Amino acid sequence: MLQITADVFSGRRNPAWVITEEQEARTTLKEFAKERNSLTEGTPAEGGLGLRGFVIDVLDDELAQDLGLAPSVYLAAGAHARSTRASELAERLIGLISRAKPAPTITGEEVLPLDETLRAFLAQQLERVGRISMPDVREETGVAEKARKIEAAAVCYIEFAAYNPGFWNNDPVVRQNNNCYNYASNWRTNTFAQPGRGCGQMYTALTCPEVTRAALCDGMHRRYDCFPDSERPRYLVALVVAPGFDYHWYRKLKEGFWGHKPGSTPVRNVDNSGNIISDPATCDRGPYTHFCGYFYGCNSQRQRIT
Amino acid sequence: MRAEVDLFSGRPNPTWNLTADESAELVKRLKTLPETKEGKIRDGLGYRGIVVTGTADEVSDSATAVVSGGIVLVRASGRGERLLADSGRALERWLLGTARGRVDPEIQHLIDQLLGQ
Repeated sequence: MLQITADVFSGRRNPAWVITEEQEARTTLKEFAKERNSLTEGTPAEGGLGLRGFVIDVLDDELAQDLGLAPSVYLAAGAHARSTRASELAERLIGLISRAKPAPTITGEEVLPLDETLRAFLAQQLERVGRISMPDVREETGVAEKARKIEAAAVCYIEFAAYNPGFWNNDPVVRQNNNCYNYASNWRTNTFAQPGRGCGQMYTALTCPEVTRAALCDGMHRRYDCFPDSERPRYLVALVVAPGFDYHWYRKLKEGFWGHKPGSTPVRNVDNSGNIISDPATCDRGPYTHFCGYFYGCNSQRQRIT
Repeated sequence: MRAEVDLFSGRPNPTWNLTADESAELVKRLKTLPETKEGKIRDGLGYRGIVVTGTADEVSDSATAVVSGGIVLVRASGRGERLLADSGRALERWLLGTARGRVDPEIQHLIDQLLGQ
């Protein structure tokens, strides 16, 4: 018996499936035993968002001994793959989903079903692209959210780009003429874009409600109000305000941290204390004391900003 | 020459033009400042300093001076960068003072708060 766990999420339980048919398990492990240089015995230290690899747990000692494998091995995949053969092995593991049973879980724990959606999601993760798509899962549902008119979904698929400060910083014209809103939208207009100007209703006050209104007018959605795949890329961004003074935006990146561009100054991934930003809600934001919330940008929104 | 208070992230920074006399005074003051190897221009969110563009350096090159928290970074085309010490932030305060009557009252209020720091 063989349990395969996709090492893909950071906040929720990883999907796992079990191959119970011995011949299937044995055939799969034989392929892995031939490619030992693609395997490690532990999870690598480097992380980041998206599919990192697969944990393969051999559940009986007979199978492990026959093939000379440790009880648990790790196959790094996607951007972390150690060889091109590793990607083929990863595809094979994903293909086994259709012939597998769900791995045992703690009763009541929410897990993704082993279906075509999961298979397609993991297959897409294997592609070596700079950007990744991930589910943005809503962990808690408070009373306030239940009362909202717009029904917020439990899961929205969104994209994370790689941190690329050079694009914004190296050319003085780009650096000077693009601001935090340009960066959060990932759209260079060279106009120092302002929320709401593109939709014809620019903000009229420097408050959370008013800058939020203007950004929604441009086409952003509040977090968990999903965009369809046709609106890729769908970035997770955050808005903060120094009331009566100014606003500022952040964007979450593939590496797991958040980036931002304070006005005409360079893009950075650290806060005012010099710490890498893991969450704009709690980082040092200087005078931008009001945290307005998280939002999604999208392809049509970013093309509207000006 | 143009002065810009580097203050905002989302909004455009307030800017104003220096008069010919003020421009000459700025060049004169810059020439008196000693070079230094220490200190750095402020970065991050909030007030960062004043950026003056079009400064006429000794050889009349176009240049930029960033005046920030006791330091002046002068970038002149063809001459690289120099760091000068602005003791007591005197040049910075003088420059902020030139904004009076040339920026919106709301911005002037912010500048007055900076001068009061």
